[in-house]
Amino acid sequence: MKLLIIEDEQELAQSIREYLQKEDYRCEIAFTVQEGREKIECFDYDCILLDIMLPGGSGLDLLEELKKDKKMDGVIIISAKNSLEDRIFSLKSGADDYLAKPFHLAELSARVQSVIRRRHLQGSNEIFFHNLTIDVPAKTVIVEGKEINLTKTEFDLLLFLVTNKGRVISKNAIAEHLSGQSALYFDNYDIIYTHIKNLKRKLLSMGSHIKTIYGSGYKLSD
Amino acid sequence: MAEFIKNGNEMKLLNYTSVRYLLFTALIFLISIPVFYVVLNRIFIHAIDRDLYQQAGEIPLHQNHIRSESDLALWKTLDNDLEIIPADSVKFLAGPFTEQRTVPGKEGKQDFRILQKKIHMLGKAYVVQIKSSLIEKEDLVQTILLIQLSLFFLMLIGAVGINYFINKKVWSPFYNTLFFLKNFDLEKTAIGMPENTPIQEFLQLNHSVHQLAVGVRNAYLSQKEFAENASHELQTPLAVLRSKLELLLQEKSLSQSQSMLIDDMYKVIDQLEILNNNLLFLSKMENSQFAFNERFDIGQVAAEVADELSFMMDAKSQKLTMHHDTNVSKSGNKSLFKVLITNLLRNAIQHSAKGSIISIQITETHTTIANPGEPLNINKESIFNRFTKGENQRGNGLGLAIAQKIATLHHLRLDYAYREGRHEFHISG
Repeated sequence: MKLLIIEDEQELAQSIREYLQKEDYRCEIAFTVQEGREKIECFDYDCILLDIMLPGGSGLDLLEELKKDKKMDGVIIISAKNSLEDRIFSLKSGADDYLAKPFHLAELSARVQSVIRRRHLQGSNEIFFHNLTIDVPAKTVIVEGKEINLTKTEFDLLLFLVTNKGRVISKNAIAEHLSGQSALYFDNYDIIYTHIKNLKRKLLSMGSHIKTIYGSGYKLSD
Repeated sequence: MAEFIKNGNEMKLLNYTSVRYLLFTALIFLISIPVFYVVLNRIFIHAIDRDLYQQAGEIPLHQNHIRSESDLALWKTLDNDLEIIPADSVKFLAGPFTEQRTVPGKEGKQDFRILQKKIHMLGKAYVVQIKSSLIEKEDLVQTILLIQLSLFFLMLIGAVGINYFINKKVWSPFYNTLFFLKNFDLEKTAIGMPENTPIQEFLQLNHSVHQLAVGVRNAYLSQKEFAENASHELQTPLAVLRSKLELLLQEKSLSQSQSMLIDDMYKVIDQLEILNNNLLFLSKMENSQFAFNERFDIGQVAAEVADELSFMMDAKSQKLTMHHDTNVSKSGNKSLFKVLITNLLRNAIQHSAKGSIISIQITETHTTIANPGEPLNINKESIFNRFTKGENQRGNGLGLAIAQKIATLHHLRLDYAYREGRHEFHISG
């Protein structure tokens, strides 16, 4: 899987690359619109992470060029401008997703995988992890050939853990992912603890793969 | 601004001048008719009097021909305008006077102008009365007044009409400028120029208006740019900081206390992020960068918000009861209104205990969001102020300020009340 990160903030671009490389993605970075344009013309990418405010132009222009050339690359807009107009405009122009900065890398990783799944695995949109099979559109989970009955929240939580497997996800990122609200508004993370506990119980033998990293978060480990 | 324009007795500029013209013309008309009547009357009487004096002056000439009583009787019969009366049977007045007399063959009395003159004839003293009918004068004055009345009436219509059309033409550049100002939109990229005019004052006005428009727009743009740039510049380091923390979290050799430090830092970054977002949002609203022409169902918006916040409510085992009349719709900006409901509901969730019941009630006139809780320890009036925080406050104190601002932009009132152990927020308008 090949990713292109078009982002002028080098530190952020490198963090994204470092985090996503653990998922076996090959990440390339472009810092300007021109660099991004050249790379897009020469190679095909599975997903492009595109900032809006860039040196030498707007990322939205690049998006329009991309769609005009009928390129199949998936595009996620990552912007510091958390404005509704940009969000609507981006999605109308053909972006697959929009993520406002600052975001959790775990959240970005989940979105990237969702975009790639939707674009490449036509029909069978399934994720496998050891004895665990997740059918994303059908929202079903099978462990050792047995279908597991999960609530919507538990399903979202499991998907989030699986798409960030092998990495520690902060409770903070989980709370934000599940609630759509900033974790700041939560008095405590008891609710997350409760959902993790239930999920581990329901996943039978696979439950032990969910590890608690005390003080920070959770991790799905091999 | 709106209060300043609407003071109850406003009128259009054209009407303002026309009404004054009308009043002035009517006043002149009212004064001039009696004055004119009096003056005409005096001129006419004066003319008749002169005539009477002239006739009186000719009497001595006729007098010479009267030699006998029969001559006198003949004179009396022939000259109808003369009355010769013995001096002792009438009161003598030196000047001419007006008297009403009956005229043979006609009904009623008529005004006559009479001049008396003393003469001596055939050894006796007589008073000769020369009379002249004033009936022609009445007719003449009436005719003249009628003509004058018609003329005044025509002038009135003419003056008001001409004034109206001239003013309309003269003031048209002014109305163009007014139209330009009314349609001036900060959001639009092009600033049109008010139409050209040969009148110097209007040219100056247009020039000033244009300069003002350009100035305001530049100020607006730079403020907008500043707010957006500031947000962008802040957002990027926050994003970097957060991503680095997330990478740090992946380190295998992290101790438990190090992990907890990272968790604490996360919380601070969240605070900064929300603060930054809220400030940007407020400045956007103050720059009126939102359109208010959508129509939406309040019940539907509340249901969407309730759905989005259901996880937060579940986290505190809270329940929401929602009562709403069917199809209570409102026009404005739906996404802003949603932020308003979100902020109020999130506020209710945060400030009520585990297991509480939060209620939303929507009627045609009111939307009320209520939650149980202890009375506030901060001033009731200041809860909508920016950065006002109560005890155990987790937000930045901007949520209710934003809610208030959105309500104002929708011409709605947002009030707070504490009743029977419940905090209530009312949106009404």
